[in-house]
Amino acid sequence: MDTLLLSTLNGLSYSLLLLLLVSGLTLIFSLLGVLNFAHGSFYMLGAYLAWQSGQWLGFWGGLLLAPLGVALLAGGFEIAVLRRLRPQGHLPELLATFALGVVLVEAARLLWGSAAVPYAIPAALQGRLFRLGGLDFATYRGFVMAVALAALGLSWLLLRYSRIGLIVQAALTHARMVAALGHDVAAVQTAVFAAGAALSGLAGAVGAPLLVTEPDMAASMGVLLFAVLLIGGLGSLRGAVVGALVVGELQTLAVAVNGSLADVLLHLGWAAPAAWPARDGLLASLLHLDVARAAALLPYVLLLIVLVLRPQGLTRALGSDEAL
Amino acid sequence: MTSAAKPLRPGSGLSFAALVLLPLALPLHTAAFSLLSQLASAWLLLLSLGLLLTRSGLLSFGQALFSGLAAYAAAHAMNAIAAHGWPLPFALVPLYAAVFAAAVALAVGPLCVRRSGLSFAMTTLSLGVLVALLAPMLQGFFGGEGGVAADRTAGPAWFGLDLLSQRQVYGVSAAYVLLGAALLRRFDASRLGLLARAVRDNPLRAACSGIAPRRVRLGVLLLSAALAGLSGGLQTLHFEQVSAGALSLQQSGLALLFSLAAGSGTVWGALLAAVMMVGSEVWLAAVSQAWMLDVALAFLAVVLWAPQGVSQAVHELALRLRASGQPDLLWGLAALLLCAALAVGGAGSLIELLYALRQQLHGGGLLRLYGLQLQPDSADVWFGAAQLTVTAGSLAAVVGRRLSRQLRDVEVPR
Repeated sequence: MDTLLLSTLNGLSYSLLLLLLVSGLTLIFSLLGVLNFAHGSFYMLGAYLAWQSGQWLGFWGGLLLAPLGVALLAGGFEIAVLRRLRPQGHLPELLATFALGVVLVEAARLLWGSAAVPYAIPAALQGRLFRLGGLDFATYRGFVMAVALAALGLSWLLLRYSRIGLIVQAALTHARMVAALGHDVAAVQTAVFAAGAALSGLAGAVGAPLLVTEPDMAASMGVLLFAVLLIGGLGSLRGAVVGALVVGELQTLAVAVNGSLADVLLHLGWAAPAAWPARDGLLASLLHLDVARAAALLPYVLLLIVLVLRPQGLTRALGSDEAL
Repeated sequence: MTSAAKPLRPGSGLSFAALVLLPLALPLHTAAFSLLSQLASAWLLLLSLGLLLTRSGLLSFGQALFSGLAAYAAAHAMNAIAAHGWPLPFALVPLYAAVFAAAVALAVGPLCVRRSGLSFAMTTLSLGVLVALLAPMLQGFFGGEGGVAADRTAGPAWFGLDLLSQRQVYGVSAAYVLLGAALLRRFDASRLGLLARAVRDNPLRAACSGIAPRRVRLGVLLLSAALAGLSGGLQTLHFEQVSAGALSLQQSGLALLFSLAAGSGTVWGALLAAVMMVGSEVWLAAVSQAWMLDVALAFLAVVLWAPQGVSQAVHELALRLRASGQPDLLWGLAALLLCAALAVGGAGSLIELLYALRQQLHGGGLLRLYGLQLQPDSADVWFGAAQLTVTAGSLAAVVGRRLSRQLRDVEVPR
């Protein structure tokens, strides 16, 4: 039972990290109408910037500089490229972010190499926060949760109560009206793009010590984010929360499971599949696949199930204009 | 980029067929035929992407799912035929691969085609990733790290077609390229082709006219998957080996990039895209370690300045130049191309210098660039490259702006 609780807590810290990434992605999508394919690359860039500046300024300086650097780059890109492409519809914008994602990954390969860099947990945050049934809950995971909650809370307060937050909210639904009232919607869009990128840069800076810091982290995280979005429902913040929680917990809990589909069948009283040799064909190797090894796959399997049962995502209602 | 395909000139199909068959009549080296076989396989893959985008407005981020799975299916089929001694020639294996890919599309397609646009793009991306992640885990079908090997000469030889020489492999590839071109032509004239355009342009209106958008999209997806399957089968026939890289996200992404950059919805557009793709993968990758960065930057430039794709942009430019009746503009165009080439050369050398400095891979600290020996840590070299980039870039911008101002007001006869 304690193990389950601990795994759930670990899953929660991972979920919050995902939420940090997905909330920015959702906000950008809602306001700009662009699905940002470079979001995973912003996450990777955040990790690298934090590591690199951490060499000179220490861990905390890196943690502060990384989101700023990513936000500057994203804001510049929005002004220089996305704004120019806006009159031509969303497809060129999407492709531009796709190209930016590849450029950033390759630039990181150029500057820091293809191998992983040793971005580690700082000494002050090592060790355990508390013990639960003989198992440790790492201090750093608690720190990740705290940082993510603080950043998300701050963004929510800004969005809910500040003047610029009110303008953003209005621009989400009535962009032309907001512009007619004399607000600079283009500037708001740039700010939101930069802020979303900053959130993902922060996620990279704070989350990468738990994972591996390498150029490939951009692609794997970027695609996972889309799965989270689709599971929750594209374009809704509530969907982002639900999707991040479900995917984070699912992946973390699955790692703790020992066994495969064949073992499940064995428990149910059908012993034959467990005796098949694992190398013998597609079905047998699928049955013998360890659930823990398959944890990385589960979000996509879940996505397929969601798409079959509820194509608009878990939280959203299907809009009248998108039934076709 | 979803603009309609340009109307085919009469004879365009014939000249394409002649071009495809021409190398078979030439005394070319084995390496040349190997390159041509890769080109043929890339052409089919890029055509499958271009077909999907231009005819039905669907953007597939997971095309390697179809081509990769088909490549594996082809390898298994070849091994099974060789093991059982079935009297089936290996030249037909790509057809089986195409049917296999279409079957995969039939299985997963209904999930993807419910809605067009972003939903389709993201669903294909997720499916592609799912299979790419699954492949190393399922050794039974995907053969683990080493992949699956097959011997293309182990099949029965019909009419002397033993696939021993690269020339014969290219001959088979050329036949399938012509089949693909014929399918495309047939599709454009068919009911499905017309319905696909209707659904692309206005799904609601199409649905109100009694057309089921999903079924039309699924039909186009099936054809596209079959073309991608042909490409995968040819790849297996050529390389005699499939590994997990065939399913990777990078494969899908690169193919999509080149398909969009060139505008591969027509036979000639797909040819341009295939030349660009194989050229980058074979030539640019051999010259430069930064080739992926170069490709991505070039793609960004295409999105910015020719969002309809290079082939369409060139076509449009030619039309406008002809309609303007000012031959002098050709000089402006030549100046623009020269400046742009110089700027690209400068920017490329900056990237190479950065690479050389970061990695210190080049012997003796010297970098060979355009036949010159350069010292990557000397300030002069950097200054020169930066100056070349900035000067040529600004000149190109000035010329380009004036040229586009001249051409903007030209009435193009439609």
